[in-house]
Amino acid sequence: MTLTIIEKEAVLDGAIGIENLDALINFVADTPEARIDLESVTHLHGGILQWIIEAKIPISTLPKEESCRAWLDAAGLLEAKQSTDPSFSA
Amino acid sequence: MNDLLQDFYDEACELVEETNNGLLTLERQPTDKEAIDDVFRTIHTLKGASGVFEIAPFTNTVHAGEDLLDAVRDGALTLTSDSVDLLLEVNDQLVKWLQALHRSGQLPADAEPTSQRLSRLLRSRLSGVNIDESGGQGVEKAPIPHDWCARIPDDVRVLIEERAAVEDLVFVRYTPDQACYFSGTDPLATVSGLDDVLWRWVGIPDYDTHDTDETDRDPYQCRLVIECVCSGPVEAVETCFRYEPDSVIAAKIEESPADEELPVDESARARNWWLIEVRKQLSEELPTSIIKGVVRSVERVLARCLADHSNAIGIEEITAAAQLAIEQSSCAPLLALVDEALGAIDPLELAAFEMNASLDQPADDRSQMSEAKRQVSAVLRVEQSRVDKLVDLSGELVVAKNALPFLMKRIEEGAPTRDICREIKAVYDVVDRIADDFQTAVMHVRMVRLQGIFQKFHRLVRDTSRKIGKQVVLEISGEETEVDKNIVEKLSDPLVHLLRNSLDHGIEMPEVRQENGKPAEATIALKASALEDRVLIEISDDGKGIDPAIVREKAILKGVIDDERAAQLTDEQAINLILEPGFSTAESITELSGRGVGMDAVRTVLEECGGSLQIKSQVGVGTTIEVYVPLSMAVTQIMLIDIGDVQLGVSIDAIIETVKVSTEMIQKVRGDEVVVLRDRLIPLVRLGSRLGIQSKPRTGDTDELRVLVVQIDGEDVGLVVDRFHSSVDVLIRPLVGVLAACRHYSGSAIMGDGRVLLVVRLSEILS
Repeated sequence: MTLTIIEKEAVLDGAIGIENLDALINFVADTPEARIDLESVTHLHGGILQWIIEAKIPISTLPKEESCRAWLDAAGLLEAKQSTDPSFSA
Repeated sequence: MNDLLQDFYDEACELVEETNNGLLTLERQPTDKEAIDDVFRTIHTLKGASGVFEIAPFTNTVHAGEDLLDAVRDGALTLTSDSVDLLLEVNDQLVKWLQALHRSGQLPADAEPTSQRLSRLLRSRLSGVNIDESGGQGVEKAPIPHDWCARIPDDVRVLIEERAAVEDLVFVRYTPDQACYFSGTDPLATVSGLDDVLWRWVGIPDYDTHDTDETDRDPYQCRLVIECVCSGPVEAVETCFRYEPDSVIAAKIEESPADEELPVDESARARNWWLIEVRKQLSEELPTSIIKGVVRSVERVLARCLADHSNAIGIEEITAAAQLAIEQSSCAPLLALVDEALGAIDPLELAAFEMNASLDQPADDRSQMSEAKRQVSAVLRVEQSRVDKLVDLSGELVVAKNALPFLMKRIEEGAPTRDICREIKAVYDVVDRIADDFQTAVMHVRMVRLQGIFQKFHRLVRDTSRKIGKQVVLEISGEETEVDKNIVEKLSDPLVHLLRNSLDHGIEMPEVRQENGKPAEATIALKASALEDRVLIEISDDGKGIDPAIVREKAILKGVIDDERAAQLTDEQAINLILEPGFSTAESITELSGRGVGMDAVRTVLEECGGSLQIKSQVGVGTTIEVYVPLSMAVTQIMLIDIGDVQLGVSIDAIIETVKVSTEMIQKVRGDEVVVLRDRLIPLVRLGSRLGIQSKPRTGDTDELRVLVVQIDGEDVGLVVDRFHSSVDVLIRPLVGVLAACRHYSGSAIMGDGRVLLVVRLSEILS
């Protein structure tokens, strides 16, 4: 995974494993109104998805990868984003 | 065999043994809830442990057994003796497979068909309990949950039901272990291994319903629950989850799942069970998003449950309540309906169901398993305190050793010899104490409880008594008594033989017992107790006893003893004739009694490990066999004796006293030498002549004999030797090769000066 911080946004790339959880938690803790960009994510670990759900992390961009997107859909995050983001298109 | 498989083998052997014992307990006390839970937990653990390896037939068979026990635990099935027979047969097969694994690292070629046969038999006992009979590899094959479609949108559910009509679709509910992130498991990656996922849901149950601060939660603890519907067959799902079989429920979706999940011939018990389950579901605080699905599912269940039982509640009422529930986004209307239905049921009946439900505890809680249940095996488990003792002593030994260089330096410096001798003596005393303590501590390391072999006898007695049509209960006591592991292992076969003899020859048939005023059910008591330096194991039965007159008669007939000698024997001595080679009191040779060589073999095995046995019996009352074994085989104390130029050893256990006897005291009775010692008539045996060794009495001893009074088979005998010395501790090794044929010697030991010492076998010499 590569993690690039651009202002208040963490841009994730590739497979996000559980070993990346600490870095993400620290980023969110240090960054008010933090959000994450999942556009280039190819795989999301279950632990990361759980953290996104529980910590209610705002997702700025959904992943392009279909399987990854399916999991966010299964977690109701696609629906949630759709309802909160008028510019969202599935 | 790799270490992991070896660990599995050791653990699985213990678990199978525990299951056996638990089943036998259950058979005697079928309502013992603790016993049911214990057996279920044990077999559940065994299933989980086997799932790590590619031994699907093993896992499948255990899983089928677990399903059966689960139904017993839930109260849906009563465990009969036939079911216990089947489960015990399964356990026997598991043991065979474990042995094959141990030998070759794989199951035998016929494992799969055997597994299928046993699994079919086990599942056939589950009539009335809806379990998918398709093959499995450890994944939980419960009935499809009644709320399976609760989260599925209507349009997707219709699609699923349509496809289920023409192909295998499987509903999967996956609840990963909370610690799974630490074991490298990624739940999403695991589910990605499923084929053609039609629908999936992932969520955190508590998260939906509790408005708590989620940031306080441990992010490394998995709380996800995943549900999905995918293409079958179930076997494909099982393969996907083969490493986490306990975390998954997989169920085939039928064309009309909610209808299919209820048995057609619904019993009142099953109805109650469903109502209670449904009530639990409805009582939970459900997220609004899934209420509609839950209501639809519950509606179907209620329609099936209540409509089939001529209840006052009809389909129309159920449909109306469901509609109202959907409109109000609340389960309350349906809950009221269920409460009404439950209110019409006998409260005692419901209480029994709820009690069963309360038994549903964490399945793999190994901590509740008693350490005392460990069986004798190639692995020796030792209490840490005993190992700690060894470590302490080794430390003391190192310190004591450091005194020696200091002494050497003192000698080099020319210290006075007297002082040096005194100091060496002091160091020797310290080392001697440590060596003694070390020996004791090491012996304690190898001490194990007799429980390991005693517990196996419940099965032996049960199976054998059923086979020969007798009713027998085995009562065990003193199984916590500890004996050297090597002796425990040697004891197993002799005790099996003695128990079989008791069952076959001692215990009468039930009708005969009742005619004699005894209860139809006989009792065999197996009792162990620790004596000062030995352990006594008693096998008592309340059978017909041994008739000494018959034994005498048969002994004469078989040439074991002559008429004259037979007449001299006391009843107890006569009874003990059955220990002689070739003797059998059985009126007919049976599969159990063997061919009359058994008791002699039993005595020989016991003597090889320094033990002995005595038989006491009373006609019509019963028989008690006393088995004495030493605490340890490691070190034996022997007395050194001389005959001519040869030094021999005699086990100190057999020696009563050593005396010098004037030749004038020796008398002749029927040509044999005897001596009277404190009013006891002791027959004398010249050990040299028995062993073919030329005796050489010391000069001046011509009018005096040195006699070792020993006790063999309860009889005192005086052994005439040339000299006797002090006793020593030696390690006796059995004779091997050509020497093994020398029956007069039980073994050899190496002395401190390097000489080899032969130890005489008194029972053989004096027989």
